[in-house]
Parts: sequence; C-alpha cells; structure tokens
Amino acid sequence: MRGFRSIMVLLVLILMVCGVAYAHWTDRVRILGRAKMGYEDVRIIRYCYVKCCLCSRLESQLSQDRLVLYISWENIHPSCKLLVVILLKNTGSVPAMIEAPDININPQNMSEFFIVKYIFLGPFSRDIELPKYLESENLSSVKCIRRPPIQLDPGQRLVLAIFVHFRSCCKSCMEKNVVIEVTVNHKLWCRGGG
Amino acid sequence: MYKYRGKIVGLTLFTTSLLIVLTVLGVARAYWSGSVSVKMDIKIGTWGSRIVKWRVLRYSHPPQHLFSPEADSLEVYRSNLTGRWYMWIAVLIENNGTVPITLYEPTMRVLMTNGSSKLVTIKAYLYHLPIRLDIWNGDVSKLKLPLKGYFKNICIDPGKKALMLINIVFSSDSDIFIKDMFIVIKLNYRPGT
Repeated sequence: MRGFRSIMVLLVLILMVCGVAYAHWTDRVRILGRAKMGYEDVRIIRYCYVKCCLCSRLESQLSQDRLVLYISWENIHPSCKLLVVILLKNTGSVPAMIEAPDININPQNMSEFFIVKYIFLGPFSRDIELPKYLESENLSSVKCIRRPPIQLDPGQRLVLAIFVHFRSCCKSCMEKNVVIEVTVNHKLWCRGGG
Repeated sequence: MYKYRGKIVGLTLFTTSLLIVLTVLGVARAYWSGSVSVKMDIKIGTWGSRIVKWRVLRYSHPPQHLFSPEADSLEVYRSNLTGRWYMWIAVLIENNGTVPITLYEPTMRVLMTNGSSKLVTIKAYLYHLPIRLDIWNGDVSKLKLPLKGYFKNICIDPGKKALMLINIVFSSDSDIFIKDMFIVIKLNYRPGT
C-alpha cells in the first residue's frame, strides 16, 4: 500500500516538473500586421490656354473636384486655333496608367471641320512651367513627348496639350454650336500593362 | 409545393450572391479607375460683307446701268462698245459679320453678246478708312487714280468699313463691236485675318 502511494506521489511530481519544463521551453510568437489599401486618383492641378485671335471670347472653369475643365469658346471663325494645356498630377498613392484620350465632337457632322490633336509631355517629378508656345505643326520636334499608355507614379505630373483648329470656310457652319470633349481615362497601373 | 421549396431557396441565394459579387466588382472597378476631361462648348461666329454705297468716279463712256442686286455684288451694263472703254468705281464695303474678314480683289463674271471676256480686265485697290478725301460728295474729276496707299488685300474688323476702288477696262485692238456687255462684280473675302 505504501509502495503504491509512493508511486502515485512520484508520478504527480514528475508530471508537474514536465509541465513546468514544457511551459519554460515553449512559447507563441504572434506577428500582427495591418494592411491598408491605397487609392488611385489623378486630378488637374493647373491649366492655361492660348487662342490665336482677339475676336473670339473664351471663358474657362475648373470643376471643384478638379476633374473636368469647362471651356466656352465663342465667336470663332475659320482658321481659328486654340491650345489648351493642362497639368495632371497623380494625387493618389498608387501608380496610375494614363490611357490615350477619347475625343468626341458633337454634332458628328461637324467633326470634319475641326482638327483636334493632343500630346503628352512628361511625366515630371517636379512642378513645371506650362508650355504656351507649342505649335500643332511642329509637334514632332517637341521633346519629352510620350505616347500613352503612360505610367504616372504618385506625386508625378504629366502635361497634356490639346490643339483645336477650326478649318471650315463654308457659310453653313455659321452660328453652329459644337461640343468637343476630350476624356483621359486612367486606371491602376499593373506591371505588364494589364 | 414543398417539392420545389429547396430549389427556390437555392435559386434566391444564388441570385443574391451574384448581385453582391457584381456590385463589389463594380465598386472595385470604379475605385481603381477614373477619368479627367476637357469639355469645350464652341460657338461659331458669322461672317459677311455688304456694299454700303458706290459712286462712279471716272469713265470714258458712262455705264447705262450700275446697281447692286445683292448685298455683296455690283452689276454694270454697257452697250455699243468698241475700241477702249474704262470706268473707275468707288465702293464702300462694310463687315457685317461678327468676325474679322480679309477682303481680296473681287471676282468678275463678264457676259457679252460677242467677243471674248478676256478683253475685260478688273483691278481693285483697297484702302483703310478714314481717308482724307471726300470721294462721296466732293469733286473727284481731278483725283489721281488710283489713290496712294492702297493694299491688295485688307482685313476689316466687325462693323468696320473699307474703301475699294475698282478699275474696269475693256480694250480691243481690233475694231470689234460689242452690242451688250454685262459685268457682275462680286466681293471676294474670307473670314479671319
């Protein structure tokens, strides 16, 4: 009977020592991580325009969210030219891919009387002066021209110059209203261009 | 009814989950893309010119008729022509459009009963206003034509006027006789400077 008690006590002691030893030689390491999603955003931060003649009137307004530039150009005549230069900035936290602009001219039948060209300059890491003396005829000689798609990293700037040339001379065009919309789409830049 | 209950519940669950997935995808697509745009509202102006008044300054034989059937044209009629005939006309032209125009030498159309229209030549001399001389009311018989300081083409701003002196000459070396000659002079301009 005494031998049995001794074995039980011994067993309890051994188990206790094993438990303490296990607790001493093991531990749990936890790694706590926090993932925060970035955001993709491109805005117009500055713009300027140059028109060729004094007789036409031009008013411009940038929307509050800096996503749309409204231009009202009145009393134009054949051979009138307009250069609109906008400075785009990636105000997001991830790289953006700038795509080729979509150009829409309404009404459609007036599209043959307007020449609309565009170029991208950049991207630039610093703030730059907007080029006001670009000529649509000499586009090929302008340096820093980039063809879309263009990768625009966060904080980088990109110049978009749009040329509009009204070239009709027919009297049927007089007093017509035309809407030209140039839309630059952008999306998240993915390696491989996807 | 109980037979199809399970299928209906499954179908509802599937549709709901599809809608949720599509909504999430749409939001994600909108979140990772965007656009910047330039919207231009363009209004085209009007261009035109009209003859305000005219005066015959000098001639070898007076024209039988000289009138302006349309705002931008003059018609001259002369009969029984032979040898040489000339005429100087002063025309006051106004830009009645909303944009500047550039005025060039007018175009001419000659209708003759016989002979070639090449026998008639026209020359135009353009002047900015005002000029010192009163060619509309004063004596112009001693004027030396064309006046000095003329241009081959000039730009006229909207609402402004310009003076054009037109010299029409009919010259034939042979003794050709023209019964009737009808000349239509039309203003030639282009919008813009």
